[in-house]
This record gives sequence, C-alpha cells and structure tokens, in this order.
Amino acid sequence: MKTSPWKAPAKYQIFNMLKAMGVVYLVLVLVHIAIFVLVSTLEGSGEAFSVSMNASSEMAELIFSFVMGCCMWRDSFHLGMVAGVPRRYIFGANLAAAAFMSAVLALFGTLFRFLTHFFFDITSAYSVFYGEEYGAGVDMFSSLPMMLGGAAWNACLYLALAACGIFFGCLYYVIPKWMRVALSIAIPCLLVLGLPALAGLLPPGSLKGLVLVLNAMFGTTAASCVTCLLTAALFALLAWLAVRRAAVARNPQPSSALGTN
Amino acid sequence: MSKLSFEQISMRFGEVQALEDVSFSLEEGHIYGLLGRNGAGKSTLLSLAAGWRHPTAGRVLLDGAPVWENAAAMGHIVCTSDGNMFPALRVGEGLRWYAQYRPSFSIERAQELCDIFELRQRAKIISLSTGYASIFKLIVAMASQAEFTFFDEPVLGLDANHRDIFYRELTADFARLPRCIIISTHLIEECAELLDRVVILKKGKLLLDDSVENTLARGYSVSGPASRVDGYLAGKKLLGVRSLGGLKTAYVEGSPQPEGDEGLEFGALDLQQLFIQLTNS
Amino acid sequence: MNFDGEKPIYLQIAERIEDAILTEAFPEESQIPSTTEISVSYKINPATALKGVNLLVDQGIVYKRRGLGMFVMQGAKKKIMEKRKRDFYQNYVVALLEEAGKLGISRRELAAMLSEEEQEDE
Repeated sequence: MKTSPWKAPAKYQIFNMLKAMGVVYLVLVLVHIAIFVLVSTLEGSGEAFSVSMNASSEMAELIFSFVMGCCMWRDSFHLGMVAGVPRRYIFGANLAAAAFMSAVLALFGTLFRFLTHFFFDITSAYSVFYGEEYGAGVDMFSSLPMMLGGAAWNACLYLALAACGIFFGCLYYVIPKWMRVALSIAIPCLLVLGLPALAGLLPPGSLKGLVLVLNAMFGTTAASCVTCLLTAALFALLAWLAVRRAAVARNPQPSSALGTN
Repeated sequence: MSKLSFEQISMRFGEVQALEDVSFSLEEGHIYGLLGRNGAGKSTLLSLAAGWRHPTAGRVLLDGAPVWENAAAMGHIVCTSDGNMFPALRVGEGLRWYAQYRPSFSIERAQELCDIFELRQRAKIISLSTGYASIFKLIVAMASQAEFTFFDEPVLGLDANHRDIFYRELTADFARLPRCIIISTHLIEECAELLDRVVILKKGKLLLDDSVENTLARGYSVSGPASRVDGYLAGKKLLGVRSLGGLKTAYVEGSPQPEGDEGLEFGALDLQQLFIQLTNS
Repeated sequence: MNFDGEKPIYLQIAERIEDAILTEAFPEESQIPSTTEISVSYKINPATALKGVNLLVDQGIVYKRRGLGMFVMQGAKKKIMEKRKRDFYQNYVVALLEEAGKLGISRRELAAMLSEEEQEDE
C-alpha cells in the first residue's frame, strides 16, 4: 500500500488554497495601487495626505484563514472516499495544509506589509500589542527579529482560526440541516449580543481576574503563540470527533428522483 | 483469491431498518448481480462495502481484516460514486488528481475510455448530463482496476449505444484482468448473460446468494388450459400466475415434473422473470 | 445477439462455432476467436464462453496451440456432420412426428408433403 496516502490530499488542498490566496492578494494589491494613485493625484492639488492602510491585509488574512478552514472538509472527504483514502488521512492532510497555509500567509503578509510601508503608513497589529518586547519606539519594519516574531505570531493566530474554521466545516457536515440553520443564527447572536451582556453581569472583582487570565494567555509573544497552538489543537480534536465516523452525505441528483436504492 | 465478507450487517437510519442481518461473501473472478427492488437496501450495502458509512451492526471484512478506515483494504475496493463526489473540476483534471489518490488507477485506460464514450476531457464535471455523469463515474470505477469493483446503477441515463459499449468494455476488462465485479442494477435482462453469480435483497434482508445457474434452476413455468394447470399445481410451491382467458401460465418453484401430462407446456424462467416472481410480496 | 432461453448459453456458443465450421467461415486449421473476443462480442461471461469452447475441445473439434490460441481440428467438419446426423433423428424427426400427430397428419400425408417438396426443388 502507498506509504503516504495523505500526500495527494494535502497537495490538492494546498494547490486550491494557494489559488484562492493569490486572488485575495491580487485584490489587495489592486486596492493599494488604486488608493495610492488616488492619493497621489489629490496630493498634487496641494493638500498633504497620509493614508493609513492599517489592518487591511491582516484583516483579509484573518478572514481567509477562517474561511479556508470552513471549506476544507467537504470536497476533500468526498474525493477521498471515492479514491479509497480513509478519513484520518484526509483529516490529517487538511491539518497539514492548514498549517502550511498559515505559515505562507504570515510570511507573505509580513513581506507584503514591509513592501507597502514605503508607500503607506502601516502599523501591524503585532507591533501594537508586543512592540515593547523589542524596546521602546522600535519600528517594526526596520527590525528583522520583530518582523520574524510578528510573522510567527501571525502564523499561530491564523492556524488557530483555520482550525476553528475546520471545526465548523466538519461540524456543519455531520449535523442535520435544521441544526445548521439554528447554529448559524445562534452563534453570531451569542458573540454580538451575549458576550457584552455577560461582561455586564460579571461581578467587579472577577473582571480583574479575567484580565489576569487573558494576560497570562496573550501577554507575551511566546504565551500568545502557545495559546493559539493549543486552541488550534483543541478545535482540531473536536473536529475529528465530529467526522471520525462521518457517513458520505448523499448528494441530491436528478437520478435520485427515480427512487434508486 | 481475495474474499470480501459481510458479517451480520445491519443498517438503521432512524426508524428505517435499511439492512437486517445480511451475511454473504464476494470472491474475485466472478461477476455478481446485486438485485433488489427500489428500497431493498442495495445502495446502502454498496456504501458499507466501500467504507463510506459504518454499519449499525456487523462488519465488512476483506480477507478477514475490517474494511473500515483501513487504507490497505480500501485500496482494493472501488464503488461508483453516489451523486457527484468530485469537486468542481474538468474531467481531465479530475482524473489526474484521482490518479494521485489511487495507486492502482490507470489513467491511460481512463483516457482511452473517455475517447470510446466520446467524453470530452475539457468538460466540467458538474455540468455533465445525467448520462455523461454516469459515464464519468463508470470510467473512474473501471480504470481504478480494484479487486472489488462495485457499479451502482451504472447505465442510468445511458443511451442504448453507450450501454452496449459499457457491457463490452466491462467484459473485455474482466477478461484481461479478472477481478470481482458487482453490478447493482434494475436492468436485469440486459446483463443477465454477463452475470455468473447473483445476490438478491428483499426489504433489507438477504433472499438469495447463488450462482446464476442454480438460481435459474429454482423455478420454471407451466402453461396450458387453466384446469389442467391447476390440477398440475397440486402440492407444488407457486410463485405466481398469469391468466389470459382460459389459458393459464403458472410460475412454480422447483424442477418441472411432466408426469406425461398432455397439453401442458414447460419452460425455463429467465433471470428477470424469476427475480420478479421471487420479490413480488 | 439473441439467445434461446431454453438451452444453456455455453451450448449455444458451441453450436454457433460448429455452424461456422460447417459453412467454412472457420476453415480447418484456422484460428477461431478467443474466449475474450467471444465474450465481448456476445456480452456474456467469459467463463461461459470458455465452457462452450472447452466442450468443443472435449469433442475433438477444436484444439489449443500453446501461446497462439484455439484452432479448428483437421476433420472437424466431418465430425460435426456425423454428430448432427446422429442427433438429427432426435432433434428433428421425433419432433416432426409429434407435431404431425398433434395436427392429425398421417404418415402417408407426410410422405406426400416430402415428395411434393422434392418436386418443387427440381
């Protein structure tokens, strides 16, 4: 038997995600160029502008990671089943692809922000949160250790989000339709309405405790990376529990109208 | 010779008992017909064989080893896909990726079959017609060259010419590289001569698992004047009757016993007729 | 190809090959189609095709040349004709008499029919 049955599924996943990533970055590049051209034209009229493109590419990468994770299970599972590849290899391949893509996104994104900071005012989230670790007032894009630290942090964050996406993608595959609809409404409601309400209900002392816990988890680069990786592992485990016995969902087809069984 | 065994397989979907205590085995070097009425459990059985779902009870074993999540075993089994299990790719791309997943797949044979069936490799898989979607699935299954190859309604939507081509190519493949072929179909007449073993499911239970020869010997028809036929039928197990005025045709279980009866004609049953008689409730 | 539902298919395959030998479509010492070709052509199970060919091998009508295939034996045509002559009585004459009996045709009427047919031929 094949020595590494997960290689082909991983390659397939990476191939598709790189294509999608290419499209996202193409759009980002075009947006940046468009804005730069616009600003240059306006500046020519005498006004001075400083355009902040903060968070644009990072936000795109965050969303991409999550959505990428959501989309990973279904098609790879179906193709795997026809091709005779067990679930654990498909799942493992997806995780490997997610890890690879997280690293690629982080590295490419850091490079992208480095290049565009010559044209725009760019402040990365990493420098905002963890800048002091490298000394006061150090500019991210002139310090290689800081850029690498930032890339590592981004990668771990994206992996956590991807794993979260994978969990939802897998969960949605195995639950019945009504549950999918219910969750799709309940979860955003919980986040948007429930969390602030919860925060309001908490006794004053516990808020301090909460801040301490959050500090421990996210206070330093290292702690943050570890937290993200553990979160990723947790979501991966939950996702696996959902699909380890997953049955192939029947795809409705015109022929099913004939009642073949 | 490899053997794929179903041991006391049961499958339950909520309230519906799709399969109940089904046990039999499949051997290489034979062409099986898996027959059963709509809802008898054929597709469910096939998805269990391929490891696409886990049985509620019982096990599927390949040479004694469970098939479930077993990469080695699954590599020897292929089943035509339920619905469209290929992602949004073109035919040629789909075949090339599939080749990477399945080591035994012969892409040359697949491309050869695409030419024979006139399936354009640049066509998008999701936009294939019913007929060509079936053709794509059966090409994938045939070219996979797996020891146990299952076809679930392979000729659904195929025109007569394509059906003819399919049976011929299947026979040629089987002669070239003998494997275990299982055809689950409603079109029994068309492929009856190709089959040498038959498995019949009735309402989720195994009704019959035997060679075609033995199965056909199970019954016969007797025709003649209604009164003579009724007289003959005494003490015999009746499968079904058909009357046209005073002329009666009865389908009987067992072997014909002429007893020198005048005016009675005895005939053999073909597989489809026998199937209908055995599975009419 | 349509098969007679009554006779086993392998027998019918053997008979068709015999017919082809009689009409010299397969001349003696020539090669007959392989079991694969036969099974593909008639859309039957290769094992059935093999059974039919083996029957002819047992009767000395065809033989196997190692590495080449199946060939028509020398004198096969004569053998087939003799075999069929022996079977002619059972297969045709008995059936003819039975049917004639059902229709109430006497032996004399039968003989008259035969000579009438003979005259038409001339």
